[in-house]
Amino acid sequence: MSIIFKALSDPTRRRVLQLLRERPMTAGQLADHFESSKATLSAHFAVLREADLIAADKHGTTITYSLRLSVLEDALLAFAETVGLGMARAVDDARGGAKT
Amino acid sequence: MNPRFKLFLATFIAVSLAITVGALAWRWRETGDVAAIFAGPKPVRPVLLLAMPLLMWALLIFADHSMVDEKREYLPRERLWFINFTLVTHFLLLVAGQAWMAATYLGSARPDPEFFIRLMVAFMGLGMAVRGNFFAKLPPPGKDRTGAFTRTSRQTAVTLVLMGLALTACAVSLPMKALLVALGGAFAILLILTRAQRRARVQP
Repeated sequence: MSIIFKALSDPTRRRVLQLLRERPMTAGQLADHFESSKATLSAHFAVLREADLIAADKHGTTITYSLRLSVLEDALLAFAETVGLGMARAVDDARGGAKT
Repeated sequence: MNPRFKLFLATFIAVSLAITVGALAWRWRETGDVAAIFAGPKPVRPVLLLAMPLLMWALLIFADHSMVDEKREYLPRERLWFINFTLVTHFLLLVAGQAWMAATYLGSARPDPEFFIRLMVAFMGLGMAVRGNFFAKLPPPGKDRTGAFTRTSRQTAVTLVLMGLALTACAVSLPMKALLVALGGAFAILLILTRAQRRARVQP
């Protein structure tokens, strides 16, 4: 359960899940919605996969991600989104990144 | 199917068989007449008692076959878990129903049918809610490029959870007639959900 909380505590990972609600997307299509580097996004995908919140389907060099949320996990995602879990940290990270 | 899990389910069938043999043998011992087993005001009960272990056995064989795909490979872990959970809850319901039937058949005990039905509906509702929770985690049967199957699965899953919890609440709060109406309504919704899921599955 702690893996799921860890996965849902990050706004970027939650945004990935929100995007996958619409339809399955490739890693490249998902990356288009973020400013983060591909390596950072890959790390986020790995955390989501470890928590079994998304599934990855690899064909050649393309990886397609699709949503695998149970109803409870969906509710937790909505709760985390409402409360804005991890948002302050994300803002701090962004500020820190801007300074350096 | 995992041999250990198959053995676990076979235990339910053994219990069911023991209930059948026990109930029929008890009636025979009391009356001293084989014909008396099928006599009485409700002759269908001994037939149902005999049919129950056979039904469970048939279900076990059907489930065992459904756990492998066309290439004779095992289905994904989530799907197997889902089928296993469904089998255990339904086998429990069947054995409980059979025990109640055996008790009323022998007439030695007269369990309150209303209490029994309420208990069964509550158990069924909880089982439905748990299965519904994991329903959206099931992988699509093929390619789901548009995401239609996943979206329909999520809607079905939420409906199942809400319906399961509502059924459990109805089982402890509603009068008997209203509970039966709610149960009928739940089955109608289940049919609609199954149809929607099938339509999503065949979409290109």
